[in-house]
Amino acid sequence: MLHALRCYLLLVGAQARAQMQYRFNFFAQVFSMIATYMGQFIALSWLTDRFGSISGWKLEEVILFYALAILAWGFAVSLFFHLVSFEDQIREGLFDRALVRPLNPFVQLLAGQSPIAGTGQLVFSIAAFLWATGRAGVVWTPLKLLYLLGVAVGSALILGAALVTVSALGFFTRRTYTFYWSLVFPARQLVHYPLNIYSQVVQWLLTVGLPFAFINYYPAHVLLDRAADLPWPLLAYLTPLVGVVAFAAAYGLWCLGLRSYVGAGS
Amino acid sequence: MRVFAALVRQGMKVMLAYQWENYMGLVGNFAFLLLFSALWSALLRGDPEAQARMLSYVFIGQLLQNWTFTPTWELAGRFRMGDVALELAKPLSLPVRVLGDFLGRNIVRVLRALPAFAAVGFLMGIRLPDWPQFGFFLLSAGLAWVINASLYVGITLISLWTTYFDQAHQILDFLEGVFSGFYVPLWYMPPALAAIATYTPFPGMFFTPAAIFSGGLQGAEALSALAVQALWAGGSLLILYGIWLGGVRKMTVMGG
Repeated sequence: MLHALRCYLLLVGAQARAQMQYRFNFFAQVFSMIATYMGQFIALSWLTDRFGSISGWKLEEVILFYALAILAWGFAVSLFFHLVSFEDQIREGLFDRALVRPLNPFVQLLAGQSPIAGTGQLVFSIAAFLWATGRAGVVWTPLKLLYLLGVAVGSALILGAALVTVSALGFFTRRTYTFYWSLVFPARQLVHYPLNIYSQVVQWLLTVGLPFAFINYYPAHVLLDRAADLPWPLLAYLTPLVGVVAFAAAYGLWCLGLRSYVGAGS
Repeated sequence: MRVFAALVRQGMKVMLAYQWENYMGLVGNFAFLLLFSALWSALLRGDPEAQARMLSYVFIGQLLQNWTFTPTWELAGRFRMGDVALELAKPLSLPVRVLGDFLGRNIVRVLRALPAFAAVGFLMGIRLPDWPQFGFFLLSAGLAWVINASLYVGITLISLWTTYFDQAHQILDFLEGVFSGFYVPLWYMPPALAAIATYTPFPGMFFTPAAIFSGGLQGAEALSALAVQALWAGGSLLILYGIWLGGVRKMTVMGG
């Protein structure tokens, strides 16, 4: 386990160094990602400026939902986003290399991306988060900071689990982009807004089926001292556990897929 | 024109081979439809008329997404691999071929999406506009396709100059996202910005056809929006050709 971790760190370090050989490209990417998220942020602020609130949530609270979702996404992009293009590795036979090296193929796959790739998302999300928590009057305590850390790790694992699942489906279907853009991407957008605007069925789906509600909706209740408003306040504290369970399940599916893997053209 | 029609038919054949992607794309469409209809229902709870108009707007907006889908990354991938040299050897300019191909694919995407959208529209109680208004909508949707395809293919052709076309693409995405009305229609934007946006190409990419369909733009307002859209459709084609001709003069093929 420690050996795998050490190898992972060495490999992603090399990826980061490789990416920084193209500095202009890197900073242009950071800038353009900030612009992309800024667009949604602007649209959200227009809506809440115009209508005052959405289903009982004020502007700064809605932006807190959005900021928490983007914060988690920033971590997930840094660690897992390249899994979306896993079908290219399968189709071009590049994944076969991972099978003949003395390291867990999953670790090799995870190490295939520079960890600074999500810098744009992270910079924007941290700025939006600080702005939103300041405006929403979130009172920080050591316990809340610890809670936030747990939420950040748990949320990144939940989104990571979704991306690992997408790559696992690539073993069975030779497709990953389609699953990401048709399922994961829209589901991520759904939680940019308060969950209570949706029907009970959708709320249940985003809690149990694809548990993205644990990324921002439930944790925001704790940060805003509104956990008691939830039907089951315990939900607000489950993000790290849900993250670990979801990631373990996704890894299990990935291992199952690996067992049935046959190289393209065979 | 016959050549362009042949290219469109070819694009349709290509798309017919990709059923799975097409149907999965519908799942994404309906997720967004769910999102936006829930959002606008919540925001406009006290105003049933505005609520019905917005539901119609977001409904047709998702169908338009199929119509204006432009997979320009495929084009950029071909350039990266040096295939641009082969493109220059062909007897028809690249923009014409790409536009024909994309139009054919978009026609198939919409035809495939129509039965599912008809069923969902029936369940949502969406009503088609009356005939003259529907004619305006069809015209506007056609112009929206020209603006979208020309601008996105044009921005991709920046890769003839630089490898940083992705970033330019994202800036265009940003401007389109903010000013096209995809997230917030012009009616609900800050008035000063909405007034500026009206004269940019972005509302013509989404807002104008969706607003005409939903009845938010009618009569003289609809005609005026169509006129601006037509100007931008012509302008976008000129921009596309300008970038293409400039890029061909500028580029150097690897090994050349």
